[in-house]
Amino acid sequence: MHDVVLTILPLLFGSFLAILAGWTRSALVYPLGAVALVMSTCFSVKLLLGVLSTGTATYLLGGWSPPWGIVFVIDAFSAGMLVLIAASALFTYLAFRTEILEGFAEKTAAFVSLLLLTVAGHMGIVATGDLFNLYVLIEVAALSGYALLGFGPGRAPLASLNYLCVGSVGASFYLLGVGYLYILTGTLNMADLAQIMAAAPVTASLHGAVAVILFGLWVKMALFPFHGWLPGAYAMSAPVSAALLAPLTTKVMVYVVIRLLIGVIPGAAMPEAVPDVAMLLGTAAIFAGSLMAFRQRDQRRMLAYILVAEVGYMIGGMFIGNRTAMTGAMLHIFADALMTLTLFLALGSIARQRGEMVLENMRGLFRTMPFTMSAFVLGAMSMIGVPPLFGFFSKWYLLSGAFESGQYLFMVGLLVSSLVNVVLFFRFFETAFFDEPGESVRDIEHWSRVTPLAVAAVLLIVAGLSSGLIVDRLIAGIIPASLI
Amino acid sequence: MKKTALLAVILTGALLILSMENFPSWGDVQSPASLHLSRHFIEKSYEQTLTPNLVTAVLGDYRGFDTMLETVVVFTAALACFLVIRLPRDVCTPGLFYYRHMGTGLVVRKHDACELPGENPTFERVDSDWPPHDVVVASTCRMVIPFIQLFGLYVVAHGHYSPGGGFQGGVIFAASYVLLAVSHDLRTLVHRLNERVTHLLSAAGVLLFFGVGLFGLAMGLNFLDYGALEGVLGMSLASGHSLGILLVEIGVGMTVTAALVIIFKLLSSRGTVTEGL
Repeated sequence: MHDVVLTILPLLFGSFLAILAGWTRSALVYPLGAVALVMSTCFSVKLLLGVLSTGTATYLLGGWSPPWGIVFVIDAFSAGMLVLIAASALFTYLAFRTEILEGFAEKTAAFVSLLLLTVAGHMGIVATGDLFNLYVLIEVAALSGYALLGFGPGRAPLASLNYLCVGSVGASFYLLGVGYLYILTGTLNMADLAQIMAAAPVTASLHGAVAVILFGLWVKMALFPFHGWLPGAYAMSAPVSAALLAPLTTKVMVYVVIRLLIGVIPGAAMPEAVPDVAMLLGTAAIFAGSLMAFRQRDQRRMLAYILVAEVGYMIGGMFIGNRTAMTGAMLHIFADALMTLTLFLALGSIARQRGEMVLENMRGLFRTMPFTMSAFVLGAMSMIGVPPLFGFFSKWYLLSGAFESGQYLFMVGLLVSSLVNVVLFFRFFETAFFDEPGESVRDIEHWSRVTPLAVAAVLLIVAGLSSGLIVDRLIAGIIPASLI
Repeated sequence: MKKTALLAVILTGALLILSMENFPSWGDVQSPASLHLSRHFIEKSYEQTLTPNLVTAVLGDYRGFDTMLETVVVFTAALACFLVIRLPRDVCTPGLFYYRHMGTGLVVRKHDACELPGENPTFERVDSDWPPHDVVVASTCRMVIPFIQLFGLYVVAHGHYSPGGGFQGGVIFAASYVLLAVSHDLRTLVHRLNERVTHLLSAAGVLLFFGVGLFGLAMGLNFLDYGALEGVLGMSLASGHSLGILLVEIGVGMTVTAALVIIFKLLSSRGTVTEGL
């Protein structure tokens, strides 16, 4: 019964204890973080299994029933998201053990604490059923995220400051929209709000509220043209922070938009222009992200621009307005998170050995780091969309959904971005496979780094092969029957 | 670029104003906001929480989880400052470290030593950019500070009855420490409240809040259900809720005080936490 809240509590508890431990017994800090993440992952899996067998779980925080108190509402889709977030954070945490222990010196406790807080924030965003609570959780997740990305060499603090400014604007717009909705309906609870809005007269104010909320969330998820913060923040920070946040932040925001679209905002309250604008921005994001990825020398920055294009996939998919495309967008959240995780974990290992992530430094990687590169290849193939990897299936749903609704420009965008990914990744593979490594190169692959990476890469295949099952059990039941 | 930005701001503002046309008029008793949730809170909250101040009852109890997370945000802010701007102990920033020779009163800057080992009888650390403090200012503040702190405690404890609570009281309490630093120097503050103590205090505050929540869980109720405090000290259900609110407000006050002092120390000393101001 308490499984819902127990997914998040170990993380919060761990983050407070990590600070206490940091100033008294610093050797305990890292194991503490690991225990918290493992517990959180276990409870999430348990919750997922519970939700699959008994249906949606609701948890009343403080024992107050909605709409007076705050509730957590977990259905199969959000339970899947919780597992995804907790597990991917755990993988990152385990793979970057040495960086966390050595790279932050006396600040390890603060880093671990912030890491746990950001994971807790992201999981809370997925779990909550209250619009204002969602905002507070966005604050927790984002503020700790800014700090994690801001700790790094060179221009990392500046890039993070950029992110902070843009992110705060997005969050403010979201909050403003929630305020509008409260004035119009008098409630903050999502389920209650959905009922009241369905009966409320459709007015300009209601349209305004919905538009402001969506705008705020688009800024937070780095949809083109609000993506300016993303490449800098992820490419300049410490590799561990980027690997932690890249699979989470944008995907969780996409999740929030999907949640609002299918559960809260009735069709009439959505301003008519929004789906068209969203399709336009989504398609533009795909083209612009791919084009700009093409021009990057730094491989992490290239990957960050590919992420910008991926956001376009999901936004386009959810606003096309048919069941197949919505399924594709929801499946792509999982797929994109998993392949981003794989790629960033691999690049983190490579960056540790080779320093600057330009193409010339990547020579001979296949020979010196075969396992890391194999995982990287799997991640890249999934990003391109090669069957039977996970990325193929979500992209297939998106393509057929776009075809059903006649969104041909979006289809072209999907195909072009796949082609660009082919060129980008094979350029990397060519250098890494055929060129000889330099004389001075001494790459080391340690099992503690390779294992989480290998698990993530294998999961890409497993999840790809069972994507039919994922769609059936986690996604199909969530999409309302009215969406055809 | 500036013109585009100005245009965007004006356009957004105009759209926002336009979209307010269907709002209920200010203070309308028939508006959805006054009919739906507020009515319940006004009618029920005293009965359920024994707290005359409705705002405190809503923030501390009905939406206690939000308040816990807001406290976590303050805690996070302090950690974020620490992570990003705290200089490592072994990084020496020349120009920041000045010493006064006790015998002659001459001030010297040591290039190679950031910290003189231990208690040095001949040299005393002084700030690089702060004149010797004024006796009048220092003594006045020293007299005022205890009263400010007393008021801070009052605001924390009196949140049930009047505007106040952990956030406000914590800020007032932290302000007294800021006054100490401003009227003396940062080292006086660091001497009273060193980094270790402030960090432990900030974590202890959120842990107290969290602990109240866990107590509910341990008693078989939901997380943060203060009803678990019923029966502790022979209390009724409503006064259990009242006690719960008081406990979490104390936790909030601890975290806010500590976090603000941490942030103040870091920002005013350029991340060295030894001097500044």
